[in-house]
Amino acid sequence: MKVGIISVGFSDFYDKSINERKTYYENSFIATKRALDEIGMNRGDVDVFVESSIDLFAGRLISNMYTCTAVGGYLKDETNTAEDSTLALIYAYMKLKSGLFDVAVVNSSTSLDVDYVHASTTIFDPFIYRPLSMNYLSGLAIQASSYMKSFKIKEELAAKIVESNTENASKNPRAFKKKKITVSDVIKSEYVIWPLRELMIPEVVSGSVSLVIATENIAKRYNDAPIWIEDVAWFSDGYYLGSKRLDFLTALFNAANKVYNKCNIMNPKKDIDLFELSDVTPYHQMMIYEALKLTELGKGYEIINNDSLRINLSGGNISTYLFQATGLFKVAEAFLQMSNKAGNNQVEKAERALIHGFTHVAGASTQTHSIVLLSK
Amino acid sequence: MDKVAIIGVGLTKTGRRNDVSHQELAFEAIKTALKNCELDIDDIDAVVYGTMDNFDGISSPERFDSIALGCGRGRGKPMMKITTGGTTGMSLALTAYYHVASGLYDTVLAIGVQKVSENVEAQQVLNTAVDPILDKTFGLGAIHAAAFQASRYRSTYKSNIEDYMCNVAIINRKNALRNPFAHLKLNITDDDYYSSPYLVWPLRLLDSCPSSDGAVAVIFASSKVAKRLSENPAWIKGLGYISDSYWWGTKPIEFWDNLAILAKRVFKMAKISNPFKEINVAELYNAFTIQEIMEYEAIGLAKKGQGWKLLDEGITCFHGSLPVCPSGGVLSTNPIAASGLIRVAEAALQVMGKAEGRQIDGVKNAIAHAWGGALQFHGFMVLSNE
Repeated sequence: MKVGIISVGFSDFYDKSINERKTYYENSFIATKRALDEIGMNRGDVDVFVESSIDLFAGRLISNMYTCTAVGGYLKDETNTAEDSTLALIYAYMKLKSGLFDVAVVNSSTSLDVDYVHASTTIFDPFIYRPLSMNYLSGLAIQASSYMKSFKIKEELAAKIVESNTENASKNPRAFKKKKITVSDVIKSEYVIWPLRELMIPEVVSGSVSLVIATENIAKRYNDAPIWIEDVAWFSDGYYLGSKRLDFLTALFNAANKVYNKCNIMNPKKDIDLFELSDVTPYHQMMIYEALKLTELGKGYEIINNDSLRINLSGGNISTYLFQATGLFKVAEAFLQMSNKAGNNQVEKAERALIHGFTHVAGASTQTHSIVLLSK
Repeated sequence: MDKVAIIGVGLTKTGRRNDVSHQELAFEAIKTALKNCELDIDDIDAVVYGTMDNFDGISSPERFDSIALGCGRGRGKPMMKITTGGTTGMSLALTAYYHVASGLYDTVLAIGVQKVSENVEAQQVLNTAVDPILDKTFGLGAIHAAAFQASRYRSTYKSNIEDYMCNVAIINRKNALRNPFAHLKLNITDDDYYSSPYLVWPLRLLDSCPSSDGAVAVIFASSKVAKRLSENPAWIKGLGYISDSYWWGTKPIEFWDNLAILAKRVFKMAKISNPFKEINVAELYNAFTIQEIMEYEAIGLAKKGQGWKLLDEGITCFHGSLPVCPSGGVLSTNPIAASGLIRVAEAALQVMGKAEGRQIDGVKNAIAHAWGGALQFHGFMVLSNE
C-alpha cells in the first residue's frame, strides 16, 4: 500500500525582532488549516494527527495539550513525538501503513519563548558534561572541530556552504532569511564558539508546518499527483563523546544504507534529483554529504558548488531554522518542487527527493538522523 | 495486516530508587524483558522511548539512556521518543504496535522510565503544563483536576461517593501487597482512610497516587517472531487513542465521555460486544480513586453514575468476577511516563499467565488504559491469549 503527501501548509514565520508573535499552537492551527483548505478537506476527513514538539523548547510541559485541539485532533487519534519532525511524519506513515487509517495530518511548531542554548544545558548528564556548561551548540562545535582536524578542512570551505545555501534562499519565496551571505561575510563574523562563527549558526525562528498524507486511493481523490513516500529510515547513536567517532555521522550512514539497499539506489548522485539536508552547521553539511555517500570520507568539500546536484534549494537551516519543525519544512519544500508549485525557485525534473532530518538536542551526543525518500 | 503480540515484559522495583541512575533504571527493565523472552539487545530492531522530562529533573534523558537502549553498539538503533503526559506509557505501546503492524520492523522494544524523586514536588512541575494566563496562577495540577471530577460526580450522581472511593483506596493498596514491583503496599482500613488528610477537597491523601521512580520495558513482535519465541504471547486485539480539548470548562467532568467514545471504538476493533462478560481483568489508570469509578462507567462496565455499584457487589476486587488492577494500579505505583506501559505490561502478564502472586485465574481477555493531559487524553488496549 502506497502512502503519499497530498498537501502542505505553513504559518507565517517570526524571529525575535517581531514582538507580535503568535503562540506556537496558534501557528499550528494556521498551518494545518492552510494545508487542509488547499485540498478542500476539513478535520472530519482526517483520521490521525501526529505532532512534533519538544516540551523543553516549547516552554510548557505536555506541549501537545494545546496543539492537539489547534490542529483539529480533538476526539481523534492524536499523539506527539519529541524529535525532529521528520519522525512525526514517519510515525504517521507507519500508522497509515498498518491499514487502520487513511488520512493523517502531521504538524510541528517552534516557539521562541525559550532560549534554546541555555535550555539545552539541562539536557547533559549532571556529573560529566553539565559542569562543563555544555549546550547543544558546544556539542556541535566539538563535532565540527573534530571533523576539521581529521580531514584538514579549512573554514573557507564551510563559508562557501553558507554562501551556497543563502544564494538558494534568496530565490525561495518561503525562506525566512533571504539575504545572501558571502564567504567574506562569514569569515569576518565573530566566533560564537570555536570553530563556529556567527554566520555559520542558524538562528531559530518560530512558525509551523503541516502536511496532509493519505493512503493511495484517498490520496488520488484529493490530489491528481500525490508525492509518494518511497521509504523511511532513522538511527540513533551513542551518548559519550569519547566512545564514538565525532568526524563521521554513523547514524545517518546507517539510515542511508538502509534506504539505498531497499530502494536499489546504487548511485545516489544520479538516482536522486533533490536533497534537502539539515545543515545545523556547514561542517555538518559536509559530513552529511559523506554519510549519504555523495562523496568519499573527508571529501565533503568536493560537493560544494557541484552544479549537477541540487541541494537545499530551500536555503537550508541557515535561512529557515524552525528547530524540530525544520524537518517538516524541508519535506514540504521538496513536495512543492516535485509538485511543480515551488514558485520562483522551481527546478525541472524533480522526480525523487531525499530529505534528511536531524534531532540534535544534545549536540553531538546521541544524535538521531532520519531520512524520508519521496518519489513522484 | 499482520497480528502483533507482546512476548516479553520487564518491570523494576519502584519507590525511591536512589540506588540507581536514570540509565541504570532503564537498563534494569530492559535486561529483565530481554531475559524473559531469551533475546539479546542486538535482536531488537527498534526502540520506542518515553519519559516526561521535567519530572526527572533533567531534559531529554533518552539521550544518555541511549546507551541502555543499545544505541551505542554496532550500527546503533532506530529510536523514537514519545511524550504525551500521563498517557505516555500507553502511547509507547501504541507506537511500538504501529512499528510492527506497518511491516517496518519485527521486534520492537518499548521502554518507559521516570525518576520522579529527582524533582522537589511533582505538582509544581505539573503546574508548568497548564495555561500560563488562566490556570497557572492558582496552582492547578493533577490533584485539583481529579478533585473537580470528584466534587462534580458527588453532586451529580452520589452524595456519599467518598465511601466508595474509600473502597477503591483499600482494594488497590491490598492488591499491591501481592505485587513485588509495587511502590505503596498498605494494609489499610476504613479508619485509616477517613483519618488521612484532605489534599484538595474531596480528595484525601489515600485517594491519591504516590510519586514513584520506576521503569518498564515491553517487547512487541510480529506474528512470525512471536510464534517462534513465545508459547503464549499476549495478542493485541484492539487499540486506540483519543484526544480532547484542553479547556476544562467545555467538558462534562462528572463523566468521561471521551473515554466512552474511545472504548466503543476499541471494543469494536477487538470484536468485544459485552465487555462486562468478555473481559476477565482490567488494568485501569486510577491515579485517583474517583477516576477508577468513572472509568468503570466510561468503558461500559457500569451505567452512567452507577460505577459505585460494582464496588457494592465486590465485582472489581481481587476475587471478584472482573478484577480491576490486581497489580495495585497507579494508586500504588506511579512512575508517570511508565505508568501507562505498566498497565499494558500487567495486562499482558495476566493474559500470558505469568503474573505470579497477582495472577487471576482463567484470563482470556484483558484491557489496559491510561489517561493524561488536562483530563483530555486516553489510550486503550485489548489483549488476548488467542
